[in-house]
Formats: sequence, C-alpha cells, structure tokens
Amino acid sequence: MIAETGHFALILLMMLAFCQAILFSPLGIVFRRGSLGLRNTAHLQTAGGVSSLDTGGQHGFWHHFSSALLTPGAVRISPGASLSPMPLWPLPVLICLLALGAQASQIYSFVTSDFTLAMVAQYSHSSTPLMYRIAAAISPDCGATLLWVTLTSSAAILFLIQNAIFKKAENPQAIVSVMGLVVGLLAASVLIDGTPFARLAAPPLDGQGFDPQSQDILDLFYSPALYAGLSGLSVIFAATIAALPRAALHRAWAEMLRPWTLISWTLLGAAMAISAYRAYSQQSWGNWWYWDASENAVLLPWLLATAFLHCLAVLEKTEALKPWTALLALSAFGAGWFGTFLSRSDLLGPLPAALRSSGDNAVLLVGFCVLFAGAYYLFARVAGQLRENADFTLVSRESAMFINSVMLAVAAAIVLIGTVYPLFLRWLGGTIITVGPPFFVQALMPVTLAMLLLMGLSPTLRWRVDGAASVGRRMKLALILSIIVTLFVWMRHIDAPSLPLLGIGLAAWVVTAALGDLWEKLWRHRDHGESKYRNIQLLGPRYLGMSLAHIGMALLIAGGSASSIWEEQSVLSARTGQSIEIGPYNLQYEGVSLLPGENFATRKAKFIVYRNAQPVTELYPEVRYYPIRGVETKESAIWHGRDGDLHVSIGDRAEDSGRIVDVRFLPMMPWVWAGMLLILLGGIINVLTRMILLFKKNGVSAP
Amino acid sequence: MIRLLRLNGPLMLPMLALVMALAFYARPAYAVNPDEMLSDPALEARAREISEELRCLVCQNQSIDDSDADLAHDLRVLVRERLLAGDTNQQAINYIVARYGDYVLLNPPLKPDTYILWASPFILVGLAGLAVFGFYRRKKREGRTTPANLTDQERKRLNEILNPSGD
Repeated sequence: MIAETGHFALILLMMLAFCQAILFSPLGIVFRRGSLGLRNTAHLQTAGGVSSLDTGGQHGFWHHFSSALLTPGAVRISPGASLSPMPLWPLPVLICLLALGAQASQIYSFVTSDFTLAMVAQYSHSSTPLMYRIAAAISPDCGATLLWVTLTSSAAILFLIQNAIFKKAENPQAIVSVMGLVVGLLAASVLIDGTPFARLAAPPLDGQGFDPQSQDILDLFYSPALYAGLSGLSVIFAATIAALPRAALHRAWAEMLRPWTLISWTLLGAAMAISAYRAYSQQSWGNWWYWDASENAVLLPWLLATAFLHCLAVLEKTEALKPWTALLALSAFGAGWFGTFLSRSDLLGPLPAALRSSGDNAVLLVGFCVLFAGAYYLFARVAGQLRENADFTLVSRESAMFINSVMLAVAAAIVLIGTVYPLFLRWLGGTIITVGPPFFVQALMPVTLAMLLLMGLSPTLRWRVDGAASVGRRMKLALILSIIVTLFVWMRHIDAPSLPLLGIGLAAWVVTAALGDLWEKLWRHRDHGESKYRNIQLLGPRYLGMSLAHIGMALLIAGGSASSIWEEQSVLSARTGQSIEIGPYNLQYEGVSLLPGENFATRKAKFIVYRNAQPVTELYPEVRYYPIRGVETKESAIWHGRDGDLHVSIGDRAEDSGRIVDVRFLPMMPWVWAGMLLILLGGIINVLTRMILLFKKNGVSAP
Repeated sequence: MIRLLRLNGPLMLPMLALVMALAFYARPAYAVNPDEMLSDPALEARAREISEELRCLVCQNQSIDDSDADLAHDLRVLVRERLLAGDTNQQAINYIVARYGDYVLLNPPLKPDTYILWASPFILVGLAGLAVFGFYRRKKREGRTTPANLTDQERKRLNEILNPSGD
C-alpha cells in the first residue's frame, strides 16, 4: 500500500505541477479571464506595448491566447485589472509535500526490503546495509530522477522563502510557472521511463543487491549533491526565462540569483570531487578522471555554471553582458539535463551495452527538447532587445571575466562534442570509434592554460578601465616569480613534456598573482582602518571565496600536471615480509588475511610504510568480494604524504604464489585534492558569510 | 550464504574460504600483473606504453592496462606476443586495430570520419575569437570605447566625499 500511495502522490504531483505551470503563466491568466467571463476592460501588456482590449468576447480571448503563446511571459495584468493574482504558496507547497511523500514511500520500500517492487528487487538485497539501501533508492535510474523531482520542488519552496524575505524577484509568478513545468516534466519521466513503484507479478525471494562499486560512504553523497546542484540551476533557468521577455536582467535579478549560483556551483563541484576521489581509490591506476559520459555529465554544467558565475558578477557590478549571461544560464541547466539523460541512457556505455541501447528515458529526452527548444526560441526572440550597457574597455576586469567565460563555454562545447561524437558517427553510419582521455586532454589543455593566464590577471584588474602599462607594473613580481618557478622545474626535469610544465608555470602565476593582490589590498592601503583586520573585512566574502577558488584551481592543475609526469609505479609479485621501494617510501608487505565484511568477504593486505627507516603509517588495501552480485571490487589504500600520494592496491595470487601488488607514488597528488577542497571551500565561505551578513544587516545585501 | 558469513562461530572460516574459493573460480583477471609481464624490461616498458593507448572494449574509457576484464587481459597478452614476435609499437597497434577496429584506440585516429572531431576545437576557438572580436568591434563602432571621465564638478564633489576633513 505504501508504494501505491507514493505512486499516486507522484501522479497527482505531476498533474498539479503541469497545472501550476499553466496557471501561473500568462496563458493561465488568459484562461482564468476567459473562464471567469470577465467583461471589464483589462490592460494587458504585450511585448509590443500596452494594449487595452475587451477580453470578454471570444475574439479577445483567442487574441490574448495567441499573443500569450507567441510571446510567452510578455503578457501580464496591469494593476488596474480586477483579476487578483494567483496566491503563490499553496500549489508549490502541496507539490513539494507530495514529492517528499513519494520519496519517503520509495525509501521506505527500500528500507523494509519490499521485493515485490521491481526496483527494490533489482537494486537491493536483504543483506545490504541500511545506508546502502537508502543509496540504492536514490542513486540508480528512476530513483535518481525521483530525487531530482523532490529536490527541484524543494528548491521552488526555497525560492519562495527567499522571495518572501528579500522581495528580489520582479515576476515570481513566471518563475513558479517554469519551476512547475520542470517538476512536471521530470515527474513524467519518472512515471513513464520506469517508475520506481512498479510491482512484480512474481516477486523474487530476495533482490539482486546494490552495485558494489557504489558501496562507499562518499558515494552516498554523490547523487544528492549532483541533483541538488541541478535543482539550483533549474531556479536560475526559471528566473532567466521569467526575466527574458521584459529584458529585466538587471542588478536585482543578478543579486537574487547569486546565492543560487554559488550553491549549485559548489554542489556540482562536490559531486565531481566525489566521483574523482572514488575513481582514484577504486582503481589500481591512480587515475582520477576518465572522461566517460557520466563524469562529463557533471563537468558540462559545472563549466557553464562557472562561466555564468563570473558573468553574473559582471552583470551585478555594471549591468553589462546581458544576452551572454542569459544564454549561459539557460545552457547550464540544459547541459545538466542533457548530461543526465546521456549518462542515464545506455547510449554511451561500453560497446556491447551501447549497441543494444533501447532508447529508454525517452520522456527525459522529449522533455529536454520541449523545454529547451522553447527556452532558446524565447532567447532568440528577445536577445536583440536586451539593452547592452557594456561600458568597459578591452583591458578591464569585465573583459577578462567575459573572455574567460567564453573560453569556459568553448571548453564545455569541446567536452560535449567529444562525448557525443562517437554516438552521432555511429548513427550516421560511420566507423565505431572511441573518444578517450587523450583527445580531451589534447583539446582542453591549451584552452585551460589560456584560462589560467587570464585567471591570474583578472582579480588584479580594475573595473571598466585599466591601462596595460599599470597592469604590467602591478604584475611584474608575479610574472618574474612564476617564470623562475617554471625555469626551476624545467631545469630539474629537463626531459619533461612541455604542456604539463606550462601548467605548473601558469599555476604558479595564478597563485603568486592572487597572493600578491591580497598583499597589496591588505597592506598597501593601511589608511583604510585602524588595523589590518579591518582591511580583511573590507575585502568581503566574495573576494575571499574567489581567491580561495582560484588558488585551489591552480593547485589542482599543478598537482595533476606534476603527478602525470613524475608518477612512479611498480607492479610485482610480493611475498610476506618482502619490502618494496617506491618514491621516498619503503613498504613492508605483511601478508593478506581473509575477513568478513557486513555483506562482503574481503582479502585485506597489510603494509607497513617506512620513510627514512621511520614507520609512517600502515596501509590496508583490499579486494572485496560481494557474493550477491558475484562481483569483486578493489579498495586501494592511499597515504597522502607531504610530497605525494602513496597508492597501494593488491590483486590476485601470482603464478609464483606471491601476491600481485601494485604500488604507485604520485608526486604532488595531494595538491589535487587540496585544490578541490579549496575550490569547494571558496564556494562555501562565499555562501555562508553572505548569509551571515544578510541576516546581520536584516535584509540589506552584503557588499 | 551471507547470513552464515555473519556468524562468529566455528563455521566462519570454512565459509569464508568457500566464498573466496567461489570468488577465485569466477575471478576476473586483474589489471596488468607480473604473470603477463615480459622479462625484458625494455620490451615490457613498450608494452605498457602501447596498452595505455588501447581501450578495454567492455569498460568505460579504461585502458587495457588498467582494466580487470578478461578481454583486457587477452589484449595485453596479445600485445606482448606481438612485441616478442619483433613488431614495432605501431605494428602491434595496427595488428590489434585490424582485429578490433578503431574502437580500441583511446585516441581517435585522424581520418575522414574524425575530421570534424579533430577540427572542432579549432573551429570552436575560432568562432569564439570572432565573436569576442565582433563584440569589441561593435562596441568601438558605437563609440563606447571608454567610459566618460568625471567632469571637474564631479571630481570636486568626489574629493569632498573622500576627504571630508579637507586635507
């Protein structure tokens, strides 16, 4: 019964969401006017201007219907009309409650292991630990889409709360309408593409178990972070759609979207960091990014959200770049949706599965096409009307941020093309090819390096106008320092390939430029206040978050480049007591023991790690066997040392009856993880301090 | 079986052994391991180099060097056999491609089917460059190159605000 209730709630939710989409849209206003038979003259504002028409008769109704259809969002009731606006709260709250109910009933079915449900039977087992049952409910297939529905409808409520407190949105009705459409389409996808509430005619005695690869604490947070990030992007999308027809992309709009942008950007980044670390710790390879469809599905919206974040800052400051910012806002959510479709459908998997691809998730695809065809149509119609107030010169902060956002968009386009190219080539009857990491690295590295160059420069530039000469004077020290670093690295490793070397040099450039700028802002202008701490306050959370994220990005690039050049590895067959030399470490292999886990059996090896004959730590790499699915997984053991990661994994017994051991030393790899954490920290600090400031100042926006 | 695994009694170890024996029976071949390796380190290094460019056919963008799949193991062995037979790196790769198609190459080869793919970064960068160039050109044509400087009056007012004490 519980599942049926959830199913019913979901169906009701979908219908209500579509009702919400229509009722709050300009169409809804026309409908309500028509059905109420209002005979009074109402002032309806169309894109062409204000027209005063009799809406009582059939002619008026159809006239407004068609005008509302052709210029969506452009029609609204002027204050003089007798039709009261729809109350904002009831429908979204009801939808959110229904979504939470459906989600709760689905999780309940997983927790109680109700194997009469097809999805529970497919993804869970009575021996699956509780937290992985919950993960099984929300991570695979339609469960994930249901989570997306829940989070998006919750995001709509959060938006309403924000709107109630700060009154930033000019046209909340339209935003609520678009959010309704998004929720409705997603709910339709859950219901039609494969509902999580379907019962089996002949239920099995037990389920097939949750994917062992995903049974990890970190993986629990992947799906929530990803879909919460996408829900945030959907609010941005809705607000852009609502603002476009009246070209109302101004400062208040940007200010309203800033927290949403930062939060979704941080969450998407967290999802990427989780997937990178999991890939790193599950493979013996020590690789952390495979450029496969599911990873690119997160990278795409993240890149575009990053571009949007920067353009939004420009727009908020100088009201410039409006069309470009709007395009990025639409595309970020579009990329998120399309990426989710790609990773969900089996179109891009490994070959055997991809050739059998069934075209499932059709509703997700159709919904995507409908929503974004409409969105881009609207954009194309009104982009010309967006008044540009681009009052800046080529050498200015705006320019640097604008050009960088263009490059981020180019990078996103390259990732997209690389991801879908094999698919289209196959459909067009060409050969079947793989576009693997080498393509992405070669195509993206030059773009990334150019972005790093601008990234170091941009925070030190002045808004609107700056002189090339004065920029040169300011950046002299950073330039010299970074060249020294590059030369130093190059002299020590003369045979190193040039691209990673450039990466390290440019990372040094970004860090020195950021630190130099910080120093200049803190100590050069002492007269700002009594103490230097006052200067820190003056810099504000945005500056702090930005600096942290930029330095984090530089560390990530430097670490990734360095570890790719100087990786040391050895694969050998080890015997108990044998010692293995790798990098600065010396590992002593202490043998393997068989141990029971909660729902797996594991072979756990013990290594004692020495450095300069001093014991540093003990590492326990494992090979786990999950009997339910009959799958083995590797859990490498990683030691984040001060100059590099020690990455140890074990394999099977070798023919000479030793144990296969794969040890790697990845110099500077901790920089990558520290960089990711710094980027996330930058986002979190920015959001948190802004919130604190907002509430302290009682509704006045932060500097 | 899994219920028995949780027992902490005398049955546990035999059960574990049984489970692991089953696991052993269904064992995947692990990523590159010493049994496959060639005794000549130079040849082995070349084999690793080649393996990194070949895709495991049944995995997501993993090289065969990295993959636990049986098929990847077979390919690794095949590469080493070709090298022992005296092939150059390119010959060994060609041998595999002739049997499995371009799909095994992680780095897509440059040929008519992939011209668009390899040209796309250049096209995109070019288009973006043109768009940015056009943006600044248009701005210049519309005479908005530099924001208007402050008038003398504004400058005076600004000075008053910045230095209220009048120093």
